[in-house]
Amino acid sequence: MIPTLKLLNSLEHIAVRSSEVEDISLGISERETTEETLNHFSVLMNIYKQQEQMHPSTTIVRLIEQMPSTIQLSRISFSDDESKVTRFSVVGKANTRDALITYTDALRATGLFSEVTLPIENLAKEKALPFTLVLVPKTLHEINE
Amino acid sequence: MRLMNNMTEHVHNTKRKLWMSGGVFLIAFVVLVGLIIYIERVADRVAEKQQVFNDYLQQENYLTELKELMRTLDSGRTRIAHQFVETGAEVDYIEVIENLGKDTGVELDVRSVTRDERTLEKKKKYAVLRLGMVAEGSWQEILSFLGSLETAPLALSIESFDMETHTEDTLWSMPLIITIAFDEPIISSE
Repeated sequence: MIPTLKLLNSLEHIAVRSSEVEDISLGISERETTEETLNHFSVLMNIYKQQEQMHPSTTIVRLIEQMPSTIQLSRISFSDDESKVTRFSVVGKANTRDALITYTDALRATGLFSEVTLPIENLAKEKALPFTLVLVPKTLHEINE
Repeated sequence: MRLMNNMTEHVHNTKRKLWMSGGVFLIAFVVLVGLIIYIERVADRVAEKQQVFNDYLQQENYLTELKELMRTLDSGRTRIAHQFVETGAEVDYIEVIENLGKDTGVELDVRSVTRDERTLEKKKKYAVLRLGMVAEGSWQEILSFLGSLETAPLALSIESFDMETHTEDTLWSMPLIITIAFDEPIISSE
């Protein structure tokens, strides 16, 4: 008798809970929607992270800060195309070779760039030298290291 | 003789009763064994149902946790989502950029609006709104406009610019290209 009673109790328990199971089944579709929303949010966060870049204006301010009065800039270009290396190109005129070399060294010393290239042809003239500097900025990750 | 007959009848009755009792006992035994087997089978089914129920219960707990996480992230999620271009509302985002130009004092001319794709990771791309424009203004205005683009609450990336002046301390001209990511599912390329 005792096992039979236990069995009947269990059957009753199942009957009562089966209605709850139906509710939970409804919850599963809700779960899928919730998971989808969270996954989409995660993708947006990844895109956001991917787009994070060293602010070009910060770099420009540093270019100006390091610039002696003997240098004049006339053009600053920036390119962050995903198929190419991010880089700045700075065009200007230096009063003397020394001024240009000092400026180039000062930019290297900022630690903001992984490459500072001054083509040797830029040093051909002794005075009033037109120049083009190519700068490859460090990534935020590289700077924070 | 009569006594003998009575005794024989008594023995016969007793035998019949014994057989009947034995039969009843056997039937009861068979029924009991059958009942036990039935109970065991039903108990197995109950255990299976219980397991299914427990699985559902686990999923329900998982769902509750997900909902909790959603509630926690909700305000941030909405804020982040607004930083991405909503399909069909591209003009609103162009106007946001134009207003940044006005606020910083530059003359802004949006010259091209296209839809493009950027790589998120291998075989996964996302859509972007690509804007080509030219800003003109003083050095300070141009720099201020650039700064406002960088800090705008948008999933914005500056792709390129080329700021140039022909005479010192005068007007600077800056053609630039920016992209703002769309709030759309990832594009998988096989």
